[in-house]
Amino acid sequence: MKHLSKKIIWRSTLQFITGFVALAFLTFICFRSEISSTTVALLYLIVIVLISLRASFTPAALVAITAYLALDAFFTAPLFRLGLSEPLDFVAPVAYLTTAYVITRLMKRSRQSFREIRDLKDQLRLIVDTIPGLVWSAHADGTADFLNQRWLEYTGLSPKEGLNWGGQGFLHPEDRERFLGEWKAILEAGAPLEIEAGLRGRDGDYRRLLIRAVPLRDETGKIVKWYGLNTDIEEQKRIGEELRKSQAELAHITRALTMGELAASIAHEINQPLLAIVTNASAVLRWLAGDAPNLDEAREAVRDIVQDGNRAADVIARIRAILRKTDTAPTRLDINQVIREVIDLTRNEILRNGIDLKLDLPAELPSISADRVQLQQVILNLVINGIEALASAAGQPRELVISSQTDNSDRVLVAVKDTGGGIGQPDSGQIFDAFYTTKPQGMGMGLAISRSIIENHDGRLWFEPNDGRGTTFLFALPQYREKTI
Amino acid sequence: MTELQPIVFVVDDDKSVRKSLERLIRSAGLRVETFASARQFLAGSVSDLPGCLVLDVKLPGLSGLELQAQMSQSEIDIPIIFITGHGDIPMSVRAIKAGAVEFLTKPFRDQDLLDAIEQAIERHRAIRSEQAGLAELRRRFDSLTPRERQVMNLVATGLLNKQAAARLGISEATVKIHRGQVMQKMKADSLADLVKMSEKLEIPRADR
Repeated sequence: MKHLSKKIIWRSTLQFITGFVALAFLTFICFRSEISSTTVALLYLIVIVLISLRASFTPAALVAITAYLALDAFFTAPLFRLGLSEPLDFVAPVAYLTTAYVITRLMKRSRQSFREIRDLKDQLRLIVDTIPGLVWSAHADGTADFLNQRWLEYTGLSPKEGLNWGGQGFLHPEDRERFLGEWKAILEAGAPLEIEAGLRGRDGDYRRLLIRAVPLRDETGKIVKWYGLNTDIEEQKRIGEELRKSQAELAHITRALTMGELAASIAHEINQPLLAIVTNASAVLRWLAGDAPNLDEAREAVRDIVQDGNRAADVIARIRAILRKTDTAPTRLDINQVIREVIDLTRNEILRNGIDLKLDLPAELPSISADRVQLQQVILNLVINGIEALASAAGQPRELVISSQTDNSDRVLVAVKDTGGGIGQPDSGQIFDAFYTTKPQGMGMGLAISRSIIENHDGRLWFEPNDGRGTTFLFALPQYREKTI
Repeated sequence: MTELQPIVFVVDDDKSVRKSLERLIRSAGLRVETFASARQFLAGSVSDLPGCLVLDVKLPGLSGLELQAQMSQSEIDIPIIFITGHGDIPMSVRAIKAGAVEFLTKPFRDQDLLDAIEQAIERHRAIRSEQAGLAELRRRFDSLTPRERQVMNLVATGLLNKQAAARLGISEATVKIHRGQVMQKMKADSLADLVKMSEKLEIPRADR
């Protein structure tokens, strides 16, 4: 503290001496040149202003007093004598001291605010650089104009390289096209950006980042800048992926267990007509063998074979009926919410397959009465079917549209539309049958169970081929009504 | 002696299976009769023909194994071929131990069933012919007079004519006449033959 005040005193002294020397020099010049007192007063004022801009009040005040004394002594009558004789003798000291005071005061305040601004800038810079995320901003056209330290550390680029960076080189090849397309669309639309993409780090490994950006607009609504934050979600992705895997496994085990419980009875029920078919067919071969084939008997047996074949089909229908016999606990539900819950479960799957998901879920929709889990199972089935249909459609736009609305008879209608490969003619009649599947890993139970659930809720589930590519699955459920007791 | 046309009985509660089995067996040239339940079979199966029974293990009401036990009690000797949807080993062991000819699991090959049927019928024929022989012997034995039976009994146990005569308190010549009658009526070629017949008839040996 003492050291500090000493320094101040020394600096003040130096400032005063500077002022004093300037005044002395000025006085000498002006006195020799016989310049008028008013002009000299003005020149002195300039010296005081200049000193005040740099110095604190005390040296400035001393310079001001010195200037007044010099003015009084050398330029106003009587010369070489101090005395208040002319108006300038009164005006000058007041003006000089006021000037010194006001300017030093203003300068002090401005220096202080400058320091504050600098501190704040440093602090903000520190926050932006230490925040666990890659922070960036871009011009309205999308070119980068700021990148934080973490961004540079992540990519291993210098600030200059970073700013010249177009983005392409670091994006995962699988995400590049999608990302650039979306970024371009967002720049045009001025909507907030939220997209996942793999970004290569300085070590050459790609990590999943969640890239988000919002536009800054001026008063006229024109976009001035984009502010973005890329968050490393690799770990969450991995955990999510593991979760998804265990969910899939669980679903599989659940299905297997369900079928295991039914397996014995299903096997027996199907074995009976099967045995009859095989036995009848063997008998037919015998009737037809030999020199005198018995066509009547053979015909009769074939007729039975047809019948038994149909019976086997009926058995499958019965199994569906058994599966339909579940106790439901219907509650009042917002279908859109159920859809969103399912989307939350499958978002990862949708993203992973590069599918463009569109939701058209109007807020003003009547509620329905249904068992939440079962309804989720249905929507999940339809969504997963859609994803799988899209996943196998190579080189096509992958679009999944889920919409809800009310239909002509005031039912709540949900449609799941994909642009996949569609359903072939031979499959269309059977896709709702139990155990019927077109997928190598499929159980063939999904749609059968879904239809059972919807029918259990007094609804209807069906599908329609799209005008263009793919299929739309729809279901309609009655509106929720207060129960009359 | 002409062989009798055999008959196969089928008991299965499943109409399709029953019908198909009937057709298959018929196509092999055999007579078939079908029944939907064990009780129906017990009520209707009075047959004096060689044959076998094709029986479903799992029948509603009286099960196949229960029917097997009841048949054995009522001395119905038709061999049984079991068919089952899901045969477990203990069940088949139990059935075979109780005399079943074969235990087939659905779906089986037609030839396997037909072979089993043929085998069962052969077995039944053998049983039947043995039983038929015994019945003939009994009929012959029944035609003997009480005195002739006594003589046959004693002679079969190895006594000489003289000893038999002493035992019965009659003359040796009378024993000889009775013995001749016995040999003729029993259609025995030799004494050894007679001894065998006596064994088959399980005639209680006379006390020495």
